[in-house]
Amino acid sequence: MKKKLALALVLSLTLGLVACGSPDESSSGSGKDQASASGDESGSSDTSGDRSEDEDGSSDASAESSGADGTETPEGWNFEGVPLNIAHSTTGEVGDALQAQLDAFSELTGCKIEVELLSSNSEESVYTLEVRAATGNLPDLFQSSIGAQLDKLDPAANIYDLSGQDWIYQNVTSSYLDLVSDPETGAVYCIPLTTSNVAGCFYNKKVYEDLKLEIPLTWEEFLNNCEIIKTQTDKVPVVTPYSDGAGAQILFLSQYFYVHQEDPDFADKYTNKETELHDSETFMRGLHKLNDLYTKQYQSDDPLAVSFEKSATDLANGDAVMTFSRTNILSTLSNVAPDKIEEIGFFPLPDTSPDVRGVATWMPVAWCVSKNIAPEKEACALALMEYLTTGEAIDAYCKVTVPTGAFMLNGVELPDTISSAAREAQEWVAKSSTSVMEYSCNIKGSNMVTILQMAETGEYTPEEAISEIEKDNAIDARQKGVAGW
Amino acid sequence: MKNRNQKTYPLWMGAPGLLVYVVIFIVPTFASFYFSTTIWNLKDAVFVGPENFITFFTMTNTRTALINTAIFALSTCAVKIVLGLLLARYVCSGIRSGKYLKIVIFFPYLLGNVVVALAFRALLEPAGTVNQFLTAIGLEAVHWLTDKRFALLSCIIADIWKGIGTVTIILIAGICAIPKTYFEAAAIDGASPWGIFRRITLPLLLPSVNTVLTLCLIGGLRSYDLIQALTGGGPGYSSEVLGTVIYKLFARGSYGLATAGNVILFVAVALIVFPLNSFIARREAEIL
Amino acid sequence: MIRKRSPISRLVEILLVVLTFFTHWLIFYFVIVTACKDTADAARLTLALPEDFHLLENLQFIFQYQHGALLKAFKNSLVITLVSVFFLVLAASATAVIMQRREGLLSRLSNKLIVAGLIVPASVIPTYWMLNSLHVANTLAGLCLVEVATMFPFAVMLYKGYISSLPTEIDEAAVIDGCGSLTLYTRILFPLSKPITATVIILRSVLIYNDFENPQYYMSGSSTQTVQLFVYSLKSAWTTDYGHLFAAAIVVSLPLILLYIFLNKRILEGMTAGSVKG
Repeated sequence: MKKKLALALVLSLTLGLVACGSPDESSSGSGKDQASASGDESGSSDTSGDRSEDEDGSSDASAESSGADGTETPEGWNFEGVPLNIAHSTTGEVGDALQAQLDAFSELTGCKIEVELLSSNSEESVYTLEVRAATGNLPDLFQSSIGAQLDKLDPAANIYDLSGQDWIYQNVTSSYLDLVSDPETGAVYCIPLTTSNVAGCFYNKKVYEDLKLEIPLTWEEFLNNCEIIKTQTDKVPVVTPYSDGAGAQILFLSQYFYVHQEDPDFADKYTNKETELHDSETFMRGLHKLNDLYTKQYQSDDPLAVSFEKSATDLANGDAVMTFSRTNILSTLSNVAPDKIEEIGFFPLPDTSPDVRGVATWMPVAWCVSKNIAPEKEACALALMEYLTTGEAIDAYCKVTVPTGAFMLNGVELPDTISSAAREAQEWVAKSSTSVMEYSCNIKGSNMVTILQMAETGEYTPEEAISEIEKDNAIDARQKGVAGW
Repeated sequence: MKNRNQKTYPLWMGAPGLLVYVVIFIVPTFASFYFSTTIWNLKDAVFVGPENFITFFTMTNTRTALINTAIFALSTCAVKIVLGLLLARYVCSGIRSGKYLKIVIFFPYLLGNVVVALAFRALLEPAGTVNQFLTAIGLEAVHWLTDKRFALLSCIIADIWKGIGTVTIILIAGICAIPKTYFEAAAIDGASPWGIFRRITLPLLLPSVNTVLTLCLIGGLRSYDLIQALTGGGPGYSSEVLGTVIYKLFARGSYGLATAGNVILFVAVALIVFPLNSFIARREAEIL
Repeated sequence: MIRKRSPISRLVEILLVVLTFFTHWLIFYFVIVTACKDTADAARLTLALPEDFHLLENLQFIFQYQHGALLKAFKNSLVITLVSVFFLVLAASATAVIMQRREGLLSRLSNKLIVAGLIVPASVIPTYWMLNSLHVANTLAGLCLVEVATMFPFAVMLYKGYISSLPTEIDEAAVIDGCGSLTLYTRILFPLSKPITATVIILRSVLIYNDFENPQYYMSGSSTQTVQLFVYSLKSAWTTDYGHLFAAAIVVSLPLILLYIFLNKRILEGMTAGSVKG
C-alpha cells in the first residue's frame, strides 16, 4: 500500500514529462534534446546506483529520495539492473520502433529489458498468450489484442489493474480506455502499443487520374471503376493480400461498419444467439462483395499468392490499382516504394448508399502487465507503461517509422510527415467509423481465414461461405463455453 | 539365481528413465482419453461425453484432413519404398558411384523441415524457379502451392525429397547383408534379374521393408511441420492433414476438441500400424 | 561382382548421378546463391549468379535481427540438444540393461509400454498440461523432458537389442570379480555398448536439433526460442525476403552440415544400426 502511494508520488512528478511531449514539437528536434538528456541521465546514474543497491527490497526508498530531491522525473526512475521480460509479436519497422522505445527506457532507467518475439502471425501469438495465461506463465509485459479478445486472457485473473495509476487517465484517450476496462469493476488493463488501423480501399491516384475515374460512393460505382480498369488497361483492378491471414479478412470485416450502422446491437445479439449472421443482408453483402471481385475477375490470376509486399509493390508501381487493406500497409509501402507513397489515396469500402459511408477501425493492440509480476519488478514495469504513453516515447517511435494511424494518446498528434492516405483515413475515423466486430464479440471459428479465402477464390458461394462460417463459429462458441450455444 | 538377479540388476537403475517416460508420455496419453471428452480450458474440464468426436467428424475440414492424411501417408510411403528399393538394389550391385549416391540422397535428412519447406516454397512460388523452367521449355506454369489440385502433391514431393534417404540407407544395409552366393547361385541357374529380385532379394529383405514401412507410415500419419511451413494446410483445406487441424484447434483454444483430434490420430496410427506389423511378421515367419 | 556389368547398367548409373545434380545440387546451389543476393535480386528467384555479392550483409542482418535473437536461439538449441541427449543416453541405457537382464512381469510390462511408445503419437495438449502441473511449461527443462520422453522408446530398444547380444557370462564374471551393480553398468555394460551410444547420440541429436513441433507446442517466444522456431518466425515476418531467409536457413543448418561432411560414414552407419524393428 505504502509502495503504491510512493509510486503515485513519483508518477505524478513525471507528468511534467508528458507535457513536454507536446504535439507541435516535431519528432526530430525535441527527440534529440531528450535523447541527450537521457544520455546525461545514464551518465550520472553512477551516483544513484548506490541508492539502487539498498533499495532493492523496497522501492519506496527510491521514490522518497527522488521526491526529496525534487528533481525532474527521470531521476526517480532508477531501476538499475531490474530485469523485465517483455513479449510482443510486432515485426518490421514498427517492431524496430517499439525496440527503440524500449531501448530509450532502459537507457533512461537502467533496467534490463529482455524481449521475446512471439510469432508474428497475429492469430498464433494470441493463442500463445492464451495458453500462457491459462497456465500462469505470462511474461512481465506483453502485447495483447483488446476488446472481446482480451477476455480470452481472463484479465481479472492475469492482468495487472492499472486503474490506480493517475497517468493512465491523463495520457490515454477515453475511447481506448473504454475498450480495455472492465465496466463492472472499473479495472483498466492496457495501454495502446502501436497506432490504430483503419480499413478501406487504397488506390493509385495517378491511374485514377489517367482514367478519369471518380472515387466510388457505392459498390456499384466501385465495380464500374473496376470494369473500366479491366477493359481499358492491362492493370489488375484489385490486389488484396489474400495470402496473409489478416489480409484475407479485411474487406469482409470492414463490412461491419454498415452492419453496425443498421443495428448497433448486432454483435451482442449474435453473441447471445438472438440472430444469425445470414439473416442480416448487410452482413451478407460483405461476402457478396468478395464474390463479385472473383466472378467479375477483378483480381489477379492467383489471388491466394498475393502477399502484403506484392500488394504494396503492385499498387505503388501501378500494376494494380486498388487494394482493400488496413493503414498498416502504408508502412509496407514506405518500405517497398518510399517515393511513391504520396501517390496512394484512400476511400472507405463503399456500400449501397452514397450518403452512408464509413470505415471500420482496429484499435491499437495493447501492452499489458502480468498480474503475477514479481514485486521487485512491479515499479519498473509500471514506469515503463507510463513512459510508453508519453510524448518522449512517441518521439522515439516516430524517429524509426512514420506512424500510419492514431496513437490513441491524449496530447499526441500525428507528425506532419505522415502520408496523405493515412491522413485521409484518420479524417474518416473522425467522421464516421466503427470498431470491428471482434471487439464486441469473441466468437470466431478456427477456419475463418480459410473459409474466406475459399469465398475469395469462388470455391464457396456467399451462401455456402456463411453456412460454413456459422458452423465453424458454433464450434468455437461451444468450446469456449459461451452461454446459450 | 533370482536373488542374484535382483541384486545385480536393481530396479532403481531402470527407474529414472521409465519414470520420465511414464510421466511425460504415458500419463498424458491416458489423460488424453479423458480430456477428449471434455470442454477444457487447461484449468477446468467440463465433461461432455462424445460431443467432441461428433463435432470433429462433422467439421468440414477434418473430413478432408482425414482423407489427405491417408493420401499423404500412403503415397509418400509407397514412393519412398519403391524408389528406395530400386536405388538400394542398384547401389548394392557394386557400382562405383554408390557411396556418392548414398551421401547425397541422405543429406536432406539433416535439414530441418522448416528449412526444407522454405527452399521448396521459393522453388514453387508462382514466379519461382520451377515455373521459370516449365515456361522456358514451353509448358504451362503451375501454381504449386496455391492451386488446390497441386498443394498436397507439392507437400508430398517435398516430404519424399527429404525422407527417401533414410529409406534407401536402411534398405541398402538390408540388401548388402544378403549373402552374395545366393545371387550367384541364382544367376548360374539362369534366373532373370527381376526373378532374382522377386524370389531372393525381396523375401530376404522383408525385415528391412517392415522397418521402413512402419517408419514411413507412422511418419506420414503424424506429419505436421513440413506441411505447416509449406502450405499451412491451404489453399482452402486442400493440404490440411490431422496434424495441422489439431494445431489450429489448439491455437484457437479449443483444447478438448484438439485433444479429441489427437485421440483420433492415435487410434488411426494404432489401427494401421499394429496389424500391418504383425502381418509382415507372420509373412517373415512363413518364409524363413 | 563376378558378372561383367552391362552397358545399360552403366548408363543407368550415369543417369542417376546426373539426376542428383538436378534434384539435389541445383537446389543447394539455388539456396546458396539466393542467400548471396539482395532483396530485389533474390525476389526474382532465378538461378543466376548474384548481381552484387550480398551474403555478408545478409548474414550481418540476420545475426543482428531482434538484438541477436539468432544467437540466443542457437544457445537454446545447443542446450536442449546436449542436455536431452545426455540424459537420454544415461536413462535409456540403464533402463535397457535392467529390462534386458531381468525377467519378470515388470520387464514384460515395460517392454509393452515402450513398444507402444515407438508407434503412437504423443498427445500434445495433455503433455502441456502435465508440464504445467510440474511447473516446467515453457522452459528449456520442460522441453528437454519432452524430448527425452519421446526419444526414450527408440533408444531403449536399440540398447536392448545390443545388450542382448552381450553374453551374460560377462556379467557373471564381473560379479564374481566383485563388481557391484552400478560398477557393472558404468564400467562394463555401458562401455561395451559404445557403438549404440554413438548411434543414439548422432541420430537423436539430429532429430532434437531439427525438432519443430515440440518447441512450437511447448515453448514460445525468443528467449526460449530454438533455431527452427527462429527460422519459422522469420518466414512469417518476411514472407518473400528470400535473401535473408536463406541466409538464416543456411546458418541454422550449418552445424549439422559440417557434422555430416566430417562424419558422414559414421552417420550413415548409425542410421543403419538405428533401424530397429518397431
